[in-house]
Amino acid sequence: MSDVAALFTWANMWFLLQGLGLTLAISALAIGCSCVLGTVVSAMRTSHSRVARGLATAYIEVFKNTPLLLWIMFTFFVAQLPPMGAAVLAFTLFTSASVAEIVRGGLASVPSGQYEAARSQGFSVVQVYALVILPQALRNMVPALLSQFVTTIKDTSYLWGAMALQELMGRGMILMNGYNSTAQIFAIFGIMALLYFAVCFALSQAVRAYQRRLKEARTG
Amino acid sequence: MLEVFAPFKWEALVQRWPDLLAAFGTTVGISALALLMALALGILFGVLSVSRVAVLRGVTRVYVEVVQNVPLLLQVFVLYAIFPLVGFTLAAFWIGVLAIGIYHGGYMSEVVRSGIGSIHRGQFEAARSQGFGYWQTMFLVVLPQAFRIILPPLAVQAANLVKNTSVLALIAGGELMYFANSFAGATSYYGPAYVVAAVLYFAICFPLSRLALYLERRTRSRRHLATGDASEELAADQMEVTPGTHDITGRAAAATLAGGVGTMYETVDIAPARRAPSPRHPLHALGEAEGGAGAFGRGGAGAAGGSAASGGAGGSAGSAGPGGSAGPGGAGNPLGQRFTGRVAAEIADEIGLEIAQEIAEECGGDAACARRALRTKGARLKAHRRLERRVAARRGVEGQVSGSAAPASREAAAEGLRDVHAPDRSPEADDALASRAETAASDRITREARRRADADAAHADGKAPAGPGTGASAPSTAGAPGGGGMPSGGGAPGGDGVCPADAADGEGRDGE
Repeated sequence: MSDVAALFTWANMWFLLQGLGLTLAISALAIGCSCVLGTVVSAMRTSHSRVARGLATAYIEVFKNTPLLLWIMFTFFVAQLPPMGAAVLAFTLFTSASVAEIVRGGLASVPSGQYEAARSQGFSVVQVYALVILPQALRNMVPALLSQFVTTIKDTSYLWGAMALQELMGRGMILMNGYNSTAQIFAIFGIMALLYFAVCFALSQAVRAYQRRLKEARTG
Repeated sequence: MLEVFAPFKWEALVQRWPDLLAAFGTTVGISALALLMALALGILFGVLSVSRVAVLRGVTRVYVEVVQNVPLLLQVFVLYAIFPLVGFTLAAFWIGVLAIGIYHGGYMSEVVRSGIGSIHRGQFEAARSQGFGYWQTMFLVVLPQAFRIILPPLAVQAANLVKNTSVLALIAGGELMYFANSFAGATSYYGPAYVVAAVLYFAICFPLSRLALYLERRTRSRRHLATGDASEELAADQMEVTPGTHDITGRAAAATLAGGVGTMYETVDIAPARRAPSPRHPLHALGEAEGGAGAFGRGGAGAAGGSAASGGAGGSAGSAGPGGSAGPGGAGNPLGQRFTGRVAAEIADEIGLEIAQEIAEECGGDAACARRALRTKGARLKAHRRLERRVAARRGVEGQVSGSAAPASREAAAEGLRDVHAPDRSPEADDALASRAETAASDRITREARRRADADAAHADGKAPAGPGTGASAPSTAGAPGGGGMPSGGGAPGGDGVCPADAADGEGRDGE
């Protein structure tokens, strides 16, 4: 047991927490970018231009039907980007496809009568979207978006294996090199799993709480 | 950028085609086995998650939460790095099958759980009341129905599963991604390797997600029929609607389709089930008379009938038009006939017409007599219209089996009994009771009308059936609870005697 206790030093914990910080930073960047790109793609997907629609559809289909790891490799090896840039780009490209579908679904969930009613009341198109459609659509989109973010956070664990970026998974692996008893390796895996679990579980609980509130608000 | 895809690099890759094919085969093999495992785990834990044993529910909760909130790669590494430490070594292939199977089993169990949740509780109750055991109910009744609903999200999960096999590249899994990596690493011909891998993954996943989309659309169009979201299909097909068995609306539908995000948001606000008139309604029996006796000529819209059109179809007044076109098609089978929309309204008009004829027969030219008769009969007519609305509203509680008066479930029967015998009834209960009394009253009207029609057919001179005379001469038939073969509601026979509702007062002597 003492060898496990030897693991729990401030230095080690700080080392791992820094990894978690990088994981969250990459996730946050990727999520932020993919929200923008995803909205653009979904706007193209529903636009009147046939070309834009085709492009958006092709984009979504390609990225939804190929593994993320492939795109990480692609941006890193083929596009020769620096690790951070490659990671954020790959995640942004991949997540945008899902976000685009979520945004499209969210907008479609608002009845078209809302749009017509707002227009008939003299709102401009921008106002209609900003004040009427988006607030309602966003409420419907939030659970799916948060689930997508959980997926993104989990998927950042590929980055160590693909491009040796020292996020949580990578730092855990590095730490493992210094300790070689079975119990210690167990413990390190346990800590990593716990950290990932804490973040992701908190997010998915937030999704659930939000859905409950939504349901209550609906049923009154 | 172009030199990344130089032709000689493609040639180098093409020369490795047997390895490429083997790697692709490995990916397919791992995917297929992992999918089987995930399905088995998903069904097992999905069923356990709705179990009544709290411990089992807890176990599934923990499984699902752990598997969904810890990265797949970490789970793979646990099998890859930790299991050998405790003397349990697996080949990379089987690590892949096991880890990915367990991982997606968690997701699939959630899908199965929401699918089970979307099946109406009445299905459980009906199956249990028919003597099925818990497991029989689950596997013979509930899961087969749930399966159709969860197929689309399952197909989405299958596509995700194939994509996720790529993580095995990081533990030298020997599958497609690993081949691409190792080829690219060995030759530094990155471009062709990853493009080919992407194409091959796409070749597996794209059909799967198309399949998901197709299944989703198919289920959704069926669901529209069941929940009444598509008015045209519904109107054309109203007789197929079995309300109360498919009401997977709102959040249940959304949760069911959580796997397919697009559908999820398009089904959230599905309208509640349209209300079709109950086939047990006396009006449907009138259709029989229409076919047999021809006494009720179509098209004669009585003075009293104008507003009956709105009441006639209950909540589905909007679909009256198409309903009218559907009616004549059903005229061939007198007993199993159900009328909706305009046809029902027309028949209701016939009742109005009938009452007008009765008044004319009774009073001749006497205006005072006619006014008096209209008052008593008017109450009847009003009660009748209320009844139409209530029958439509109560439809959810009671069975819809054509021609059968049996309640759908023990609950429904119990509710009927409660309503009749409750010592201190709530206003709602009173209301329900009144409506049942109206059912009885209306049954009597119907029987009378039918007798009249028969008599009309038999004695063409039309002298025999004088309105009051008929009512007085045959009280035994009319007053017998449920007599005359008219199917009536669970509480209707009781309501006859118990309830002094206003609706029945015009017919008080019939009920004795």
